[in-house]
Amino acid sequence: MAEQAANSQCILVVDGDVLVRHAIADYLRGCGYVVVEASTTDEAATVLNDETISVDAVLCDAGAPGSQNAFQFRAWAADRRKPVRIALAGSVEAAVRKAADFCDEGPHLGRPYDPQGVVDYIRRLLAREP
Amino acid sequence: MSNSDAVAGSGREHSAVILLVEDEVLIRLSIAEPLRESGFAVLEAGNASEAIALASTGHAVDLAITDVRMPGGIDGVALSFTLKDIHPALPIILISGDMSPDREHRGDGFLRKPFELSQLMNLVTQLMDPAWLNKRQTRNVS
Repeated sequence: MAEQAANSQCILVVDGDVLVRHAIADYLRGCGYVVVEASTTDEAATVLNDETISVDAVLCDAGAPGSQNAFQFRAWAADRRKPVRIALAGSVEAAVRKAADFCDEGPHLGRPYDPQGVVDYIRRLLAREP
Repeated sequence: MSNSDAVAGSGREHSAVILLVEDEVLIRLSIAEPLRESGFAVLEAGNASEAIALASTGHAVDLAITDVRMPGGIDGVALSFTLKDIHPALPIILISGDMSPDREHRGDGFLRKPFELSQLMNLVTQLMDPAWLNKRQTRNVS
């Protein structure tokens, strides 16, 4: 991750559902971001505490598992020495909308995918989950 | 996931896909990013259940790398059996610091922790379908 800080913006995606997390992360990578994935708020805190990783923003499921809930995690992150922008999303649709907002502001300046297509894709993935 | 089903019409080429299963987020990251920088698409799973969920979607997976010791009821060795049931031809690399050499598993390669990334890359190159590697090398040259 050493080169990441200099070359790319980094978004930390926190979601306990691996299929949703994967789809959102892949979407953001397509927009040019370096994406770090965390399945819990504890993993997310570990990443934010690591000084070798420069996280520019966090997209966190409001229901993400962990010893802190998402709101406690956001408050904890706001108190860090280096504050980071945290977007909470309460649904797949909201998460994709926020990801699309990141893409609009991001390195490639434009959405490579249709956000509704991403939502549909996630729905299909979830429908196939064993 | 078929190629045409690739995430929401990105238009990106289908890269060789590696499923990486590691419960320590920083270790997972330290493996995933160099693989991505080398041109692979990486599916990250934090435990065996997540890996099985990803593998069961029909998502194309060309190689799996899994830690052996993981929390939850399924460790990397048990996961190697499950993944082979889902994708019999899937090459699997097991990584562990303390796995008994006598333990039966379905891995195709093994790396003892700690290892150098170059060792992992060499093993990936050995096990990956040559068609993918040729395609990747051609893309890197062009």
